[in-house]
Amino acid sequence: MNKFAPLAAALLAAAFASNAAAADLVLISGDAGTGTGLEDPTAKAPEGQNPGTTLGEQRTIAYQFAMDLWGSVLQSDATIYVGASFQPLTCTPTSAVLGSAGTTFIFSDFAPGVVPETWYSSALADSIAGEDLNPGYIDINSRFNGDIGVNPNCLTGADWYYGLDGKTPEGKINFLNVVMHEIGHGLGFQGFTNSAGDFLAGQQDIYSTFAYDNVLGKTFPALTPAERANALRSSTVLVWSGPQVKKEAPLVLDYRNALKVALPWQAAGNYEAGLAAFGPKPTLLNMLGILVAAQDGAGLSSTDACEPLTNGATVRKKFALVDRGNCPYVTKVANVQAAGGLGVVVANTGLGSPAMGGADDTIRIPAISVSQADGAKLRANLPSIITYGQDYRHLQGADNSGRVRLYAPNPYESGSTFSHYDVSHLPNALMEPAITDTLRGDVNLDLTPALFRDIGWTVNPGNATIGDCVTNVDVVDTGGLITGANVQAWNKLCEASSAGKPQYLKCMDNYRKRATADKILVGSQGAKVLACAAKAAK
Amino acid sequence: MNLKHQPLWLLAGIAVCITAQASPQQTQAAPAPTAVESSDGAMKVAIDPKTGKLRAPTDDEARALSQAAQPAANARALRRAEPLGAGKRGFVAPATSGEAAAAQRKLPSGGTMQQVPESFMTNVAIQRDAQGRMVLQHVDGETLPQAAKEGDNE
Repeated sequence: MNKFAPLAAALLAAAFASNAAAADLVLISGDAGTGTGLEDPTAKAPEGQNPGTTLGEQRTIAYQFAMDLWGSVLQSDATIYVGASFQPLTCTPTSAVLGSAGTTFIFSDFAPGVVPETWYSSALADSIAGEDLNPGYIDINSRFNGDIGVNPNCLTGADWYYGLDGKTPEGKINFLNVVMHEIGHGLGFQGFTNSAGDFLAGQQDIYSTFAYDNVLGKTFPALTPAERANALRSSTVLVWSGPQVKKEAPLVLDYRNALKVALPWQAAGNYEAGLAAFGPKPTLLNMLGILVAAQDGAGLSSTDACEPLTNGATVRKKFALVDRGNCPYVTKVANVQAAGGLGVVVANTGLGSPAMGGADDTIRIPAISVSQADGAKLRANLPSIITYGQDYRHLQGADNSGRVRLYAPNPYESGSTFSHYDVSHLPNALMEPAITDTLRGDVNLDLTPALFRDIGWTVNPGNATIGDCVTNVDVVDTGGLITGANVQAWNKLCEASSAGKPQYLKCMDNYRKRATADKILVGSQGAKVLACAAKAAK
Repeated sequence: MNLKHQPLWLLAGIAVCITAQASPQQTQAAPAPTAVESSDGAMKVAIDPKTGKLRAPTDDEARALSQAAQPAANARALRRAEPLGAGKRGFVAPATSGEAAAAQRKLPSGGTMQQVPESFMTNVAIQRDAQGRMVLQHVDGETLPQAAKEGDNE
């Protein structure tokens, strides 16, 4: 490998010459020869440690960085070809399609030992087979909106952030996180059961074999299409049954948010709670008090708090139990607040405790949701003494048996349902449908590597290497931390972007300093990484 | 859904969906024209900024909609052809599951392979919410997200 070649050539060389144990993910540009997208020559100042000096270069570097991260995490003797391009996707001044991705081909019965009559995504099938099963074709296709930050009428005022440091400025969209997420789909975080519960081409896929209905106690292949369709509409019911995800979930997920009832004894215990996007976060102290029923005496229901309360004297300085439905959550909470209530418990109209959307900066009291069944039990035992806290017997985002929930809202959401973890996960997961600001896809893939293990990927078990030098940093740690993958990706980038050995070593030293300051590298790891870099540069 | 705050583009999409599903009788029974069909066959609608009600777009609004739609339409057309300079194929997906299944092939090992239809591509979109924050979510095809989903709010 020519470590110190010019940037563009070196990026390509680096892509083909990674650690033998790691997977090679190779960028196949759909923009090649067009002078646009990944080749856009518009000058652009380097940002967030992305050394590219044109728009096209920064896009290519960020994309390659994401592929290097995934390539370090996974093992494959077959090269994985990832198609990428920037195109003017649908856009308005306030909204935009950012991009899309997925596997291009699926394979079944392609190698000994695979689950029979079961589809596997192209990259996974190639890795299991140890060869390119479909030479001449890309394994993953992806495209991103090239109008963002370029066309003033497209998401006006916003832009992609091509930085690699995780420090996304306000108003920008972290491109690296989006690419990590989308490539994740292409690598196999993708089920092929449609909204009616039918399998693609009448045959199960490996992802769907781990989808599990925890009420009927069956995996998807054992369910009828109608039963699968039902499970696809309830995140409480639809969970992942793979053993690796279940094993690692306690290392990743927080304890479950819970409404805690102390008295009366008939209702005492923990109740799974959903959180609101508005108002203060519930705490032990701001949710401590007496729960009573709210009455509004009008509208479609007298218990939904959609109108001003008629029992304000009862609710004042207490917490109000209200029923879901008929008006926005914020309206219910505003009505309780206006009556002097301290907080709100919303009883769902079905299974589970939904996350409550909405926005209202005037809301000053906390609100949580509980399931319909729990709401009925609470209502039958009012008044009660409540508070809020963690249920240490259960995990947030998992069912009572520790199986992690998949995203299955009702109504069904094409493009989101099934092929994501549920939004109830805390901390937020890379493969949730809503990509959040708190994600650091460059250092933490949470439960995604575990799911990949379940479907048949081999995850790199060793330490990060620089040249022949083995560091003391795990490439992938249990629980999805990918510190070693981060080291290897930065090493490749420093190699590719440096004009000589001194510049390479300076680049790696700067990386060590940043990673140590961000607590990505801890203890002696930084020194060992730098020692390996020095050895490799000799 | 508060239509007053919907992007013009989204409303055009909604109008197309409604029109596609409505019977001719239903269309004729509409009390007042709220949409017009343009020369490209797309049904377009606008929100009156004063009343917040749906109405047929003015000429300027219709022109703006057409201009907004054109780049995406061009990109979709481009996606029906493999990029010449890529050196590999597979960028073009079958439009339907039936089309994909029809092109199923046997592997030399005895296994089976087929291409995945376009509908299984996962699409991620972004929208500014009422507070100006940017919210990312997945969407169906290239349909832009609604400002707020019903399930989020009630």
